Amino acid sequence: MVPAHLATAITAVLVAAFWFALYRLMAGSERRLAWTALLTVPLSLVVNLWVKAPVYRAVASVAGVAPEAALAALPLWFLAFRLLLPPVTEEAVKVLPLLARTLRARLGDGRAALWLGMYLGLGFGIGEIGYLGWRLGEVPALAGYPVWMYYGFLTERLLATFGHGVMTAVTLTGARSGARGATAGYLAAVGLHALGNLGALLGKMGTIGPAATQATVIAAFLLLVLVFLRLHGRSARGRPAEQQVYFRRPQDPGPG
Amino acid sequence: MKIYRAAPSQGSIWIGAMALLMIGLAALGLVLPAGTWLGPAMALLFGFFALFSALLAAWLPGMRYELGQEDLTLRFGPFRWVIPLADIREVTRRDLVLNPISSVRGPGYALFRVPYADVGTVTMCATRSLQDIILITTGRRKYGITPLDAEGFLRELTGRLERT
Repeated sequence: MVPAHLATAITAVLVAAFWFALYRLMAGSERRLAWTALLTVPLSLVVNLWVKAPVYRAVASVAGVAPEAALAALPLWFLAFRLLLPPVTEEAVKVLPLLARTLRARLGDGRAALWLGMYLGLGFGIGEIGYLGWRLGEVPALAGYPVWMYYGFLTERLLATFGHGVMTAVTLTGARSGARGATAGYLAAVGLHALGNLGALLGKMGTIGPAATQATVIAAFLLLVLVFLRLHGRSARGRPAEQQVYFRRPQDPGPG
Repeated sequence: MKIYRAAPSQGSIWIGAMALLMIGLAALGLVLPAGTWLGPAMALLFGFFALFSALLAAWLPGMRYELGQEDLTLRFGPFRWVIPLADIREVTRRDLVLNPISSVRGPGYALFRVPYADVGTVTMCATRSLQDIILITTGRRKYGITPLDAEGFLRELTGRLERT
């Protein structure tokens, strides 16, 4: 087995185990939505091979840009296109399962919308590990690398998989308030996704060094954690609690 | 005064495992090459956490709730929280929603001030962190407890509250 493929399998199992376990603790009764992660596992492969790659080649061909040219040599508008292509396509494809009416019906509840988004994004992230691992296995320069040298891949995918969930949750939370909300949520998710990818693009261009690139990845992750905490807190507080009341002191009516 | 023990849990095992991990990290600090500040600093820091974790593990089985005529006292090792019965506004029994922000909380234990996603910060003196928590709300704070005889405790507490 190619080391990259073994590392990919290990990464996929560890990332899935970690996030499913943590989500199980946080999602409460919405953990029943965990199965929806299966729906998005193949979608990374679909969007990368049959949407992003042909669109990228077509735009490059029409504009007369060599797609394999060094990043620093590409025109600015093409760099912007390159930055926005993954967020625009991936954030759209991750919510495709919502075409099913039974899943759309879940959006009526804020907490269900949040966890549906988290699980759909988790599935997509796990699928993306498979797709990226397959591509890594095809890079001749990596052929001699031992499995443990893919540790960075594991940590990066651990963060990215969580990020996919948060961004999908942002779209779905917006979708609760109709078509305009859905558009706003989708655009916010695209913006977050592009912001997350910006550091990596600047790093590849050589505009910023490796340390700064790492710092942008961590900063983007922390931003996504804050967004998640806000959505999580809001959805948890917004739902009436299932509780047994044993004692409640009557309110003091006050003077008069 | 009636004394109610907290429900048993495996929290001590988890905290004990944490203490062992900290001891290991502290030992690692001791074997670092001499002449740098990092080794002693690691040994001190992780040694402190190891001691703290070991004490928590030792105190957990003795956690109890003392229900008096005027107040309810939650006891955990040397810590105690006194709740005057007259201050209690509400007593409920419910599950709480995890807030991933770090705090002294894990499988089988929830201690001190723990943030929750649904009810905000709760002063926990409990052997469970999320499920089937008795939540006592006063004017200033919320307290979370897990007595072994939950039904008996609630019957006694509500009886006394209705008389105050």
